[in-house]
Amino acid sequence: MSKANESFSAFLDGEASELDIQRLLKAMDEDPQSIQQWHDLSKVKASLQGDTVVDTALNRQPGKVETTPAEARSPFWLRLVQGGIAATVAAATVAVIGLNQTQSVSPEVATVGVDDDVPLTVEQVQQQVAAQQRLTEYLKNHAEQASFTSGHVVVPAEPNWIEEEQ
Amino acid sequence: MTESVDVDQLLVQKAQKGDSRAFDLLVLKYQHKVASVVSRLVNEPDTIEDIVQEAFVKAYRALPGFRGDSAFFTWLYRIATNTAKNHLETLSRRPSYRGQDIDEVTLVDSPASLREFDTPDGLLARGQLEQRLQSTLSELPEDLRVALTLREFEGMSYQEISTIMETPIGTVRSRIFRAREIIERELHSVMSGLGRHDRAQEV
Repeated sequence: MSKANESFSAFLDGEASELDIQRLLKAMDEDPQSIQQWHDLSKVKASLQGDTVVDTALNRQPGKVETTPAEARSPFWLRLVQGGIAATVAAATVAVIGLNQTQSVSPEVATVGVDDDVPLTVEQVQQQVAAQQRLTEYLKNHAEQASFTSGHVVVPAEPNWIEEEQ
Repeated sequence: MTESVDVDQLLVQKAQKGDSRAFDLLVLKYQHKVASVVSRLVNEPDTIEDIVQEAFVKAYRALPGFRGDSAFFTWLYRIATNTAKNHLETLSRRPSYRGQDIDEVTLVDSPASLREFDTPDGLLARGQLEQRLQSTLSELPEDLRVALTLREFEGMSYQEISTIMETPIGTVRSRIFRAREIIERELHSVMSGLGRHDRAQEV
């Protein structure tokens, strides 16, 4: 490990060879603690150089899908993806409403389409609840985003779709 | 022993092929440099950490499009400064931040002495660190101290140090590493608390 640490020290100085890199990558596989040790070494160099010390390397979790801290705090981009799904669901809703005019659905409230004739399983109901939540969330986000730019926005009402079903 | 290839480029290529360990090495190498860049624009330590992390995430995602026309750090530098500027722009859209006037929060190029880093705890930790660094450096065996000093403070290459110290490059490399290792051991308690991870562990 000491040899790998020495390679890392040289790597920090921009003096590592290809062999050093191979050694470092191998050490990372063999010893998960190596990142912590190298991080400590990097802090020594940063302190001597007067750099700002951070723990970014330790906060990275190998194998985890990369998300920005901003996403973690307020997952706007994630919501956009969900919004895309919700938009698809909303489009399906419009289609259902168009085909099923007798069903009384307020046009101001987007809901997830439900076919009353088909008995739903628990899983399907859960999926619908989740889809409805995403749709509601998307509409709220859309309203929030629109309020930043236009100042004129309609905040969607809370759909009481569960009650409507009963 | 000298660098025959651009190791950053080598790591970028490996990361582009899906080797996340390669990118981890680049994070280890550049995290503090990027933080220093960001700290010129943003004051709050936690925000700096967030922006640095965000910059690396953006870099990771943009990596497939990185062609190596510029050095990796140059490219990363641009991503980091843009991320910090976006953060400041987002802040400026809000009327206030944590109850403070926005202009007070986003002091750009403010004197180092006025930065939010300079809480009593932060100042104490930094003062202690500098003192301990100086004393540990002065107590290092001369061969280690000279090698490290020439590297860190004079910015010399291993080859140049090797010439000055009339010793093989391998020895220079080993001396610099051993010097850092001793400093890390001696200063571990003081250096803990510099990053957010350490601060959280102390609680």
